[in-house]
Amino acid sequence: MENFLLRAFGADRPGIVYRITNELAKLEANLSDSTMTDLEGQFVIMLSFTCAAGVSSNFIEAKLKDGLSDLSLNIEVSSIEFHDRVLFSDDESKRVSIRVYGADRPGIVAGFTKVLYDFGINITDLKTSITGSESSPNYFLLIVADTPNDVDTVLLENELKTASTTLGVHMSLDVIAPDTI
Amino acid sequence: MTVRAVVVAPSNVLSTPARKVLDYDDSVLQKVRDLIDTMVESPGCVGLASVQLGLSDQIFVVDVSKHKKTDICHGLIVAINPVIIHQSDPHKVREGCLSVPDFTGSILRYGEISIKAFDVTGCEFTISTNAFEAQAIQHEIDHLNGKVFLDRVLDVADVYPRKRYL
Repeated sequence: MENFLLRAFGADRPGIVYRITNELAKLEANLSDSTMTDLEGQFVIMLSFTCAAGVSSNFIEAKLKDGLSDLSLNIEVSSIEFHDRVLFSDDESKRVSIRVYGADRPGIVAGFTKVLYDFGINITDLKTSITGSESSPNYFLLIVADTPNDVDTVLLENELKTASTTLGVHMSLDVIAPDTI
Repeated sequence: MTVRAVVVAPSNVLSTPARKVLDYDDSVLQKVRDLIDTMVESPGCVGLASVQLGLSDQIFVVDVSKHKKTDICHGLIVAINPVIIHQSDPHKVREGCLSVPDFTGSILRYGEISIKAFDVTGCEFTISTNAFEAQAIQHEIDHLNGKVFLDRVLDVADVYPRKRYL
């Protein structure tokens, strides 16, 4: 089997996911991980999948573009190598959830992710949204990250608070410990 | 002691509601023993529903007495045909499950509940509890209704791949 990554985006409308995945199903592609969301009215898809050996990314991309031409999507398909997901067990790391909100300004994401980088923390999910009026935009940032157990979360929280003060935004952090039943 | 294999999702038995127990005979007692033995021998396990052993009876066992998040604790609970009769407001918790070893998920659970159930002799009892014991009981009643925690995840950001069960 060959591994592929599809990146696609276009003006949001009903049916985009169905049409793309249906074209892939015709090629007997097997979908694996994906992220699909609305960014500023553009529906954006990042999707990994496998296909029979011998099928090229150019062939798949051409098939998709041909079958979906009425949707006016930007579509790119690349051949990629799948890597093992970076996962930790509960005794190796704890997951933290960091919420940031406040008046929008440049550097918010960089300011907080630098702190995480300095602590050696691996981000697993990150989402940002901008709301409010054009003259008074508000920014929301959600980061979910795997934090090695030897990281002092009190120290981490203090450093993130320093970043939030510098950036003039509000920040809160929770350690998300799963309750295994 | 009989430690039975725990069914892992996806499995039809996990997604099929269990049947009410009608006869409180020796077979029920044996199933309860198997549930307790398997729960005790499974690392980190604080509750087990019959469907997790491939059985289709409305029986669960819970014991959260050693868990740090426990507040009210009734020790070992054996509940047959359990029903939630009172619940408080829900709040978000993150759960993992022996039958869903590859994921954890953030879901809503009631902070306080009361349940009505029957013991192994068929006598009705009620339990009112909170915190982790309430969460574990809701988790097991979900199993008896054919649901695992993944069925309660509401947001794409609320499910997390996991390296291993513990």
